[in-house]
Amino acid sequence: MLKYEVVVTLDKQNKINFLLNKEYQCITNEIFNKKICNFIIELSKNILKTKEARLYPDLMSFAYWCRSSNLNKYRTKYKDNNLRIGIGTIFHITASNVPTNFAYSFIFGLVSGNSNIIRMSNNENEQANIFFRIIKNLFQKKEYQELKKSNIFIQYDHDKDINKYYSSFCDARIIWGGDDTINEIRNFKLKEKARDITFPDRYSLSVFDGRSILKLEENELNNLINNFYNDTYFMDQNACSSPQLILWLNDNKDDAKHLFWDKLKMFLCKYDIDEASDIEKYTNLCKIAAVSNNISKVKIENKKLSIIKISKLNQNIFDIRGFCGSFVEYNAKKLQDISLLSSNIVQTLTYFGIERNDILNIINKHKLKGFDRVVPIGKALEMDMVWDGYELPYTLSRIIN
Amino acid sequence: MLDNNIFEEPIYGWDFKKKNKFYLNEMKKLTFHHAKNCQQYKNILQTLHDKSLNFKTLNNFPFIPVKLFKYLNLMSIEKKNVFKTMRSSGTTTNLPSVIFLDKINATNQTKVLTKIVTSFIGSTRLPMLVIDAKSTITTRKNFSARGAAIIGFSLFGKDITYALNDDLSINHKAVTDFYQKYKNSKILIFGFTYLLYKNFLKQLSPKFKYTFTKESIVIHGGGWKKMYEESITNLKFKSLIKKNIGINNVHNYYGLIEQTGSIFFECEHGFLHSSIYSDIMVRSNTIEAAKNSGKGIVQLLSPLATSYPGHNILTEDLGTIVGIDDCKCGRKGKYFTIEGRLKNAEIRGCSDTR
Repeated sequence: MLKYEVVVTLDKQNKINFLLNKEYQCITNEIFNKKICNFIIELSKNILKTKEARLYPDLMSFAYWCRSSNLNKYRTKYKDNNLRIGIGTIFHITASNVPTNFAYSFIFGLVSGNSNIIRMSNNENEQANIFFRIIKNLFQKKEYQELKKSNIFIQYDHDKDINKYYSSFCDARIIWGGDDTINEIRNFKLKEKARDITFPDRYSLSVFDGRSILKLEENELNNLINNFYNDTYFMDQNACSSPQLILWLNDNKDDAKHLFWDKLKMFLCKYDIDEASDIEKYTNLCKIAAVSNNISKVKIENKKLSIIKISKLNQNIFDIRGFCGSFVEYNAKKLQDISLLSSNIVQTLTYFGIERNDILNIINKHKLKGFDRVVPIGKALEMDMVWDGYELPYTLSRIIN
Repeated sequence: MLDNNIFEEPIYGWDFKKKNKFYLNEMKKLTFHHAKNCQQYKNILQTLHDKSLNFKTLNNFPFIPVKLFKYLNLMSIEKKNVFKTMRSSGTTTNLPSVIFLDKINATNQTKVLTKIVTSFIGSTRLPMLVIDAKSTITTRKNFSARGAAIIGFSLFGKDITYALNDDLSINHKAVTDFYQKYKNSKILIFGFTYLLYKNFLKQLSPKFKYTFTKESIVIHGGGWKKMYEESITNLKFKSLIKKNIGINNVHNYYGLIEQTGSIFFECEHGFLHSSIYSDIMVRSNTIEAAKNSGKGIVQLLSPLATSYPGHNILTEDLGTIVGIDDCKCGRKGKYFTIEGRLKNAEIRGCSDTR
C-alpha cells in the first residue's frame, strides 16, 4: 500500500462543511482491491435493507448497481494481468441536481484505487442523508479506518480559493457538468501530471420503429412506456442521457406516434410539475419557438407533455433543448439519417424495435462523432463503469509496465 | 393606436362589463399588432398556438412569461425609435429583463402613473423624502427598476431629498434638515418596501426621531420576500410606520418593470386595485384558461404596451383576486392581494440549461 500525506493549509477551512471526517490522507491501492470491494458491497447491502431508502428508486438502483454480483462482474472484467494502481487523490465536483451522482462518482474513485475528496451540492437531499448515515456506521469499523481517512465529503458555497486549493494538489479532477461549471473549474490549475475528467452537457436521442410499436401487446406497450418514463421524466428529462429527440422510423401515417403519446399521457398522472417549473418550461418553449426557423409546430398536449415538430433534421436541433417533457420529434426516412447528427455532443442513443448492431454498423461505417452509448430504451440513466467514452477504472488508475 | 380619450375617463370608473369589452378589443388589436411587427412574437404565436386563435374570451389569449424578456430582446418598433430601455434589477445569477419603450409608450406610461398617483395624493407637488441613495438614479446608464420608480414618482414631489447615503446607511443630516423644514407640512415619503423598513424605520432612535404630520403620505413597493422573512406583514408594517414617524396614510403598490404601464395601488381597505389602464387575471398553470377570481399565478394586461409585446404577461407572483367592482373603497375594477413570488423551480438533471 502506498501512502503520502497532504498537509491541509487553507485558511478558509471554516467555510467548508466536512460531512464526515475532516482529516484527509491520500492512500492508493490496486484497482478493485478486495477490502475496498468488501466495503462497497457492505454499503450496497446496507442501503438495500434500509427501509427509508426504498422511497428513493435512484438510491435503490445505485445500491443494486454496486451489489456483490455486479461488482464482481466488473472486477473480473477489469482485473487483468497488469498491476494497476490508483493515481492518488481524486477531487470530485458532483452535479447538484442528480441526487445520487456523488455516490457513483465516489465508487468510480474507490474501485480505481484512489482517495477521494467529494464536493457535494448544498441542496438538501434525503438520498445523501441516508447514504451518510450508513457510511458513518461503516467508517466506525476497524477494517475501514484507512478508507475513513482517505475519503472526505465536503460542502461549500461557490468559492474560488477552495476550488483552487483542492485543484492544486489532486491527481485527477472529475467535473460533472454543465458546461458553465466545467469552464469555471477549469480556471483552477492542476498539477502538471494531473488530469481532468469532464462530463459536459450532452445531447441524447431515441430511435423508435413505428411498425414494431404497433405490433405490441398491451402489456408490452405498457412496459415500453414505463421504460421511456424512467429514461426521461424520472430526471425531469434534464439528464444528459435523457432523450431530447425522438426519431421515428416506419411511421409515416403517425399511427405509432399517436398510440405512444396517448399511452404516455395516461401514464403521466404520477408525474408532478410545480407552478414554477411549468412556467420555466413554457418560457423555454417560447424561447425555442421565437428563435428557431426549423419548428413547424409545438403541440402542447398538457402541462406535462409538449411535442416539438421540426421540419428538417440537422445539427441546429442541438439548441432545442427541453425539460420536464418537451420532446422534439421527426419522421426519419431510414436509420442512416442519424449520421446527420454526427457530433461530439451526441451521447446516448436509446432504441426500440431496431437491432443494436445495425446502429453500431452505421456509427462505424459512417465514422460518426459522438454516440458514446447505444442502449435499449429504459437504460438511458443506467450508470456504468464506462461513461461518456471513458473506461473509468482505467482512466483513474495507472499501469505499471 | 390607443384611443387618447381613455385618458379623459375616470380611472377607477369602469365596471366589469365595460372594461371587459374594451380589453377584448384592445388585446385582439395588440396581439395582431405585435405579430405583425415582432418576428419572434409571431413565431411564438404560429408554433405554440392554434392557427385559429380563439379571440372570443379574454382568458385564453396568448401571453408572454416575464422571464422571456431576460432571454430575448423583444420589440415591435424599429431600433432607432427606442426612446428608453428599462432593465429589471436582475440578481447576480440572473439576467435582467430588458424592455424597450418608444416615445408614445413612455409618455402614456407617465400619464397613467400621474393619473393614478394624483388620485391618491392630490395634484399639488409635495415635499418628498426618497428612502434611497441619490446614486441609485445617477450611476446607472440604463434605468434599474428602483431608479426608474424613483424618477417616475419624483414627478409628484418637490424639494426631493434622499434619505440614504450611497452605502444605504441613513443620512441623518439630510433627513433632519428636511424634517426641520417640513415637520408641519404634508409630505410624501417614497421608497422600496424593504429599504423603508430596514434602512430607515429600523435606524430611527429617540435621538433621531421624526414625527411628520398625519396627513402625510407613504408610498412603497418592490416586494415582500425579505419582509416576510422577518415576519413583517402589511398590517404590522403600517402600524410600525404610524408608531415611528406618525403617518397614517400608507399605500403599497404593485407593478413590474416588464409591464411598466400597469401600476396597482393599495386602497384604504388594504387591497391593490386595477385601474382602467390595466387588468389582472390569475391562472393555475400555463395551460388552463385564466380566471377572474380566486388565487393563482398573476397575469397582467395592458393596452399601453405597443412598443414591445408586453400587453399580456404572465408573472411569477402568486395573488388572489378578492372581488370585482365592489370594494368598500368605492373603486370599480378588480381588487386583489399579492402573496409573493413563486418558489424557484427545482428541476432535476445534470444540465444547467437555464
